[in-house]
Amino acid sequence: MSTSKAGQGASLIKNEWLLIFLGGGLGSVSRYLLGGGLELTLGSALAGTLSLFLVNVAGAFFLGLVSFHPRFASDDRKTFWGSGFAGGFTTMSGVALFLYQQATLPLTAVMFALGFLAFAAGVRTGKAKAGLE
Amino acid sequence: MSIAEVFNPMILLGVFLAGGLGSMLRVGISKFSGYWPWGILIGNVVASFFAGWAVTSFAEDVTWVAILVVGLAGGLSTFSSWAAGAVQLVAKDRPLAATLYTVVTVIFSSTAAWVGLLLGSTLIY
Repeated sequence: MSTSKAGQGASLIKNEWLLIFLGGGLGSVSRYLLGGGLELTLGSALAGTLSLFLVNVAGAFFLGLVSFHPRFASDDRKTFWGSGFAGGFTTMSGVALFLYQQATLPLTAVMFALGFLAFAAGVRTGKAKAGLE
Repeated sequence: MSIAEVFNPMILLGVFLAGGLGSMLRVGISKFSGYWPWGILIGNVVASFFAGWAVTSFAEDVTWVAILVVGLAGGLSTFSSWAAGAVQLVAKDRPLAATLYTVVTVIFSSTAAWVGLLLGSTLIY
């Protein structure tokens, strides 16, 4: 992959902090748009809970995937998609506000259990693609 | 939120910039790690406090709530890195440490959000 045109393009940006900034910004905007889009279609009550679950569980899976999948083997891609995007896409402050406002500890426990399993599943999928398992 | 608010270009740009800045802070602080991923924990707690404070302090202003709560606090805090830290602790045969790390994350983050909410709703500027 590193010899492809896309690989060369990505490696032109050498600054780690710029990649984190851009990836984190993209992740945050994606989370905002997913939350806003769900709110417009489902109403605010259901959308808040659903979008929090979706971003956190999907983001945890994605970070696991990025850690081992050969497509994200380069440092630049790991920095942009892992440290930047996955970190910016998922949120703990959203969970904290949700816990306080909705006071639903069982639902939060389910989210943490799913997030844990999702990261492990992402790692497994990435390793399988990389031929490590 | 209305369609115009969700797709407001100024809000999108603000969330992007604040989320990017929050993410840089998160990665910077995450280098601080030892028995637990302390840096991630501190980032999550600080972001939760800030989100609580901002959501009440700027309750009337959709733009600033989006930029500060969704962008800055959302970029600084992370769930995926918590998952990574917990899975890695379990993989190192330290399930108790992983459980404690999780419980402390939940209790400290939600308490910090509560303190922030309280502060934001009682302080008059």
